[in-house]
Amino acid sequence: MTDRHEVWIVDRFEGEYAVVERALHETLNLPRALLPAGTREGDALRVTVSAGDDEVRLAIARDAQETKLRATEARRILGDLKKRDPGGKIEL
Amino acid sequence: MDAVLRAFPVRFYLDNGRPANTRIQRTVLELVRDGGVTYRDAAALDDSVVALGDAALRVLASPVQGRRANPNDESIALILDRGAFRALLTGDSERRELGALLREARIPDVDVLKAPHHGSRNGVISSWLKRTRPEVVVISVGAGNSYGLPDEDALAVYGEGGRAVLRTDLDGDIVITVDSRGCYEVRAGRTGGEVRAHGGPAACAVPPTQETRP
Repeated sequence: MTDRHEVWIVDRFEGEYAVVERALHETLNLPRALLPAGTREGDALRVTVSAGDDEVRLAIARDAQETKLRATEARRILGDLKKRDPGGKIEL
Repeated sequence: MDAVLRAFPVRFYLDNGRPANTRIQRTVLELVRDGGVTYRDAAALDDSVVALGDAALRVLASPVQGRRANPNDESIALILDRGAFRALLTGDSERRELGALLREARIPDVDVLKAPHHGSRNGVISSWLKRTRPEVVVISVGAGNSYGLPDEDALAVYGEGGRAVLRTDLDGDIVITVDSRGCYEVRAGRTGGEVRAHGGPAACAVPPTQETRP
């Protein structure tokens, strides 16, 4: 088997499914039961794809460090934009 | 959203100010930042009005806040007014946000309601329809979507009393034309559109698309 590593992001939950961003513009709907217990929206998942001739195995683990890095970066970009918000009404 | 930002000149970008860890949000925000688009936080614009000629767009920020809130319940709602016409557009709002908006008593009687959350069961509550009393409900939903939307129970609620319910998966593009009096007609269809609903104040004898222009 050969292993490949991916980072998936839990975008949101819709009922019994999690909407997971596998790549830009690519999302998967996964049953919650296939994700680690305690998975939350925004979590980064470290996914190991082990592909063989007759089977593919997925190992999915929460990646707290990657989650923290992405959250920090998201807050930074949004924070920069909010600082540039001119306030007042929108005049078209 | 990133395709919109790449395809059209955009002056203002409005969102709910909630950060997300996804690639798509990062891509969108970088396009806003690097494209000279003015970012606006809906919280700072709550209840303010954007003038669109003689139409007005009122912004309603979500009353639901907090790190543990369901992101759908932090959707921005918009109320569009022209003449006597009024439409209410909610995003992915679910019951918690809808209930909170109702308690704030800022939700009016409308002509057209865009169904919250693509016609999901968790996007409809009877008190919402009692307050909004729409003549027409429009559901924006992808054909063959994997979520099973719109929900059958929600459809039954929206269609009570013979109310017109239009959905983009079956009806195609839905275009609402409103004149300065507030007379409106709703067209749907992939081939130019047929009139599926119309209404407005008593003076609306002539459909808006036949209005004589000076």
